Amino acid sequence: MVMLAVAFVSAGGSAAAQTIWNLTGDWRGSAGNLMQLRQSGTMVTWFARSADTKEWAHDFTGVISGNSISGAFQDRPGYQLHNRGLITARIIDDCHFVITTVAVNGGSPTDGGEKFTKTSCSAPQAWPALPDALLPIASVANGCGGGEASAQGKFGDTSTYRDSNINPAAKAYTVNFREA
Amino acid sequence: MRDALHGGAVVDFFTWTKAEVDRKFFEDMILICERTIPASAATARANCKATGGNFSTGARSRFNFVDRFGSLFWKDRPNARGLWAVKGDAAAPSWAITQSLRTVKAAWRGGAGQPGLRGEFRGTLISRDQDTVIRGFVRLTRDGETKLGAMSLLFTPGTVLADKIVVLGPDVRATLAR
Repeated sequence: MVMLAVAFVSAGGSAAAQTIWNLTGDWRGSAGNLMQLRQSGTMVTWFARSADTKEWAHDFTGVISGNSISGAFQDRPGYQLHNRGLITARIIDDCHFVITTVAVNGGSPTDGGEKFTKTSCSAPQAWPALPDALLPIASVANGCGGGEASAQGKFGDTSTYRDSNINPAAKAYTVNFREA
Repeated sequence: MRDALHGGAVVDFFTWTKAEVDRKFFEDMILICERTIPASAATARANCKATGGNFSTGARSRFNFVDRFGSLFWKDRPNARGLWAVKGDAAAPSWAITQSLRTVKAAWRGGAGQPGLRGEFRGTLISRDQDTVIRGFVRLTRDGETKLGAMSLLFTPGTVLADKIVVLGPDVRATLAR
């Protein structure tokens, strides 16, 4: 039993080591076309269908080489189009690839252009917690003066009071009203 | 804000009237006079609380000033709620902004050149003496892809710029007008 498990892991690890990409999943194209892609090592198969689910649907088998996918597709019966041909694509990352060329029925390759995004990558991210409204007062108030908020003292922040109304030399107390 | 004079208690002035703000200003100045000048210096303390005596201005003088002339500087509480047009892009649909106290939300769609774009913003309104900033996050959806990032709205209520919001975010630079 243990040996079987080791053999299984070894085989799986060997296949996966052939490419850095992990493309398996459901994909949606920028034109709205849908795709179910399965990857095994460098082998890629997908079933894709048009956005309206009527015009076409095809099966694709290809291989990954570097950041490219190349292979052949065959349209399924029961849809409006019945083509076969070759497709190449450029992998951007595990979440994105772009169809680069499509050659239909033995014709010359034409530019692709549709960009596909893995559905799980485009799931909305949760909203982060909102910024706190509780801030240091110096970041929002300018004290007894104009201008922008700051911690710098302003002309009107302080006053000095003598302990007498007739003796200018009486003891003085300087009061800072900034905290008010 | 955290009110240092009152043991760091959290106070939000957002819903306060000018009269309430002025009253707290006056009471806090009285408290500062009592804490700074000892009771033994009765004349200095009385001057501090009142109009300052012959040599200064006191708490009452300051209160009288803001009570009488403060309306020149008082700004109404920021209210961003409503539909805001995108300046310079007549084809772009308006942004819809809602506000509940300090929580602000916005939603919009792309203009003629970006029909697949959807934007959503959520932020916290922070009123400063010189302006108001709404700091938060934006979620942009384009062609089925979603991106989340930080975004700010700069708002200057109570001024000649009251009808303008400047939007600063990733892939979003816009000026909105009522």
